[in-house]
Amino acid sequence: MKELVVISGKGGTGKTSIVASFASLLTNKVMVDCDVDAANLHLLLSPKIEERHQFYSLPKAMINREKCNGCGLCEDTCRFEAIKESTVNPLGCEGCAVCSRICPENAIEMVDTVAGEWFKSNTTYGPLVHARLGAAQENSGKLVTMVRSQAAKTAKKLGYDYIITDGPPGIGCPVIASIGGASLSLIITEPSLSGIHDLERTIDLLEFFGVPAMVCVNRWDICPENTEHIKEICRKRKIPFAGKIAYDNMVMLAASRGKSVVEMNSRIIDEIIKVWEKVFEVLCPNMKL
Amino acid sequence: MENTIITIASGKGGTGKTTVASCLAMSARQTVQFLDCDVEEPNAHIFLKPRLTREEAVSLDIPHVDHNKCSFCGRCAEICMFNALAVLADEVLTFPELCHSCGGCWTLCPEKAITTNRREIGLIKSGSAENIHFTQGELQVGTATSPPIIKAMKKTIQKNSLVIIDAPPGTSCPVVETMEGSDFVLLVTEPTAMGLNDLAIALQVVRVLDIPCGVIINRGTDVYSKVETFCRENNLPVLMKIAVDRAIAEAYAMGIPAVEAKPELREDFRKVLNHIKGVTAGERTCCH
Amino acid sequence: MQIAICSNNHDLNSQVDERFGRCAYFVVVDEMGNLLKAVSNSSLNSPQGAGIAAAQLLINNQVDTVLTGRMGPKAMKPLQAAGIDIYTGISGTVEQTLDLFLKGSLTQLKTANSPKHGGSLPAEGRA
Repeated sequence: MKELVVISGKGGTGKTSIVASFASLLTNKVMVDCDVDAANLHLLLSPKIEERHQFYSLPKAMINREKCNGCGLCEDTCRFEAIKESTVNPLGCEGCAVCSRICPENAIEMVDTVAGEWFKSNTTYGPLVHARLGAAQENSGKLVTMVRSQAAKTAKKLGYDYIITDGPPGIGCPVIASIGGASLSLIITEPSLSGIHDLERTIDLLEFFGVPAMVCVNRWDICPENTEHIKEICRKRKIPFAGKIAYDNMVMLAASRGKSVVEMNSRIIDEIIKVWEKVFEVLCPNMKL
Repeated sequence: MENTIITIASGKGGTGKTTVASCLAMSARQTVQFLDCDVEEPNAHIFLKPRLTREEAVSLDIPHVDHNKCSFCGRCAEICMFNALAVLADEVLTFPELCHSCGGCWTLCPEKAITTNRREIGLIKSGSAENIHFTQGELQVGTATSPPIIKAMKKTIQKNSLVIIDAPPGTSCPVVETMEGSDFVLLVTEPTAMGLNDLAIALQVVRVLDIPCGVIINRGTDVYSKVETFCRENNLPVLMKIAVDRAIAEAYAMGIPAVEAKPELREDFRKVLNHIKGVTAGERTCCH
Repeated sequence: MQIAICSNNHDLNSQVDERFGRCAYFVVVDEMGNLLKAVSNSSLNSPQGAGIAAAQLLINNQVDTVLTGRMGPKAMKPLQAAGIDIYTGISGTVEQTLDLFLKGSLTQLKTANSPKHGGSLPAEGRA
């Protein structure tokens, strides 16, 4: 089984639109949306939800008023500043449970918290595993791990060979959870100074975790000079360049209608297909599409 | 005069948070404290071009086990919710990258055999550019947890100033850490199905934290009106609309802020600032 | 000798599970094939460090040998430090896997064969 994870470092470079287009170019695969904070892939793939499951984070502290004598030891001990005047702020609580262990009155209980939901769905282009982290919740990395493992299970059950993952932005916890052990990661960047800055940090991250990388420049014609600069970075860092895709208003239009680019007859379809072919060559060196 | 802390956020990445935050700072007719809290991918420096003069490491306390005092009872590993320690017959292994620095092990060790070491997780850099006191956080590559850096940055906020904070994308812990304590959250969105979806999620976070907020619609077009309908239905004031414009995108690519590419936008950003100041002043009079 | 085998259930006929940190049970047998005990893997749903916690569990249970599919560097460290032997290549049921081990068909693992943050993807997920 091969897993391609599409990430970007910087948000809004067009990851999701490109993943949705790839989805229409390959049959035996499962798709995963690992951007569990702000999942979007489902907006382009109109999934039918077949299973929904609750997702629990680490249990959070709750103070039993009747037992609490107000000594304040928990408040002094909590290193997350999550307890004020014998009340736990669930947004600050990381679930370390130290307060419940030191409380002399045994007044603090750790309570299970539903932090989100995850779904198994079906789409025109195949199964999709996606999730929704509750607003202001923690543990998005854990939820990412959950959806990835469910996607792998689904693929195994169906005998599918590929997983295509739409990753989260950034380089922190949810991204680390998305890339660990992936076969290949495609970075979608844009030819802006911000895009380049974030691209370099993303390449550093993939190198740190030993995940092979490729780079694709989206909206390359917004700044051809920066596009050349990105190609140069790829040459220097020995990262295969997957190609470039032009700016097209049609993408925005497709996104506003909740459709994938390939359904919209955009002029950039050929470019997306070329990128996909290059990526597939690296993902499966000995196979023909 | 009290602080006015404005956080610029959005669920979705790439909607123009940094553009809006830097344009607001550059349009203000007063001294501004600017915090780039998108510590995973800080970009505001590209537009504000501050001269960075100070650098400070952010680190977390992690356990250090004194093997002479340790009785290898296993209590530390048993209580660590993050599985950052393993106790063998004559050795304790620690896994600093998993440690959340909760202090459980060194507080509860029956032999008092655990003290603390420090593990660096990132940097805070600061400097200035014209009217702007600039601070940015940088998460070390390979490190998962950004909230402690954001927390440390917010401790640098000084009294009596206008504070503009560029938030990370998303809706989980780093965003909550950034927004907490703000007087106003400005949500930047774009008129697409994705923009709307993520605006709705970001709004939930703002509502949980109970902070007044408003919206800026970036890259506006006429084809998608659902964002405005959503704002109306949720009593969310739309404070500004920035029309889709390839010239702004091209300037952005070169690190030129929108207010330099289109100076007429400055006045619009000032109006947004004035509106926010009016709202926060009103909040204060009604709350206190 | 106590041999722990990663499994999705608690007896000799259970299917083995290739994942170390996130398997449901460690079925512990001796070299004669006697079922000694089944240790439920309490770290199965840990948000992080499941491999380390599972290793701690086996160390506490004084296991001598672990038979698994794959293991990351973090889980490996405490097991090796405790002198526990690790073998990979398990398949079928717990009983069948023990046979493979006794015949010498399993490979001893000296370095991790799963990356950092392997999570719970199946072994085939890796290029």
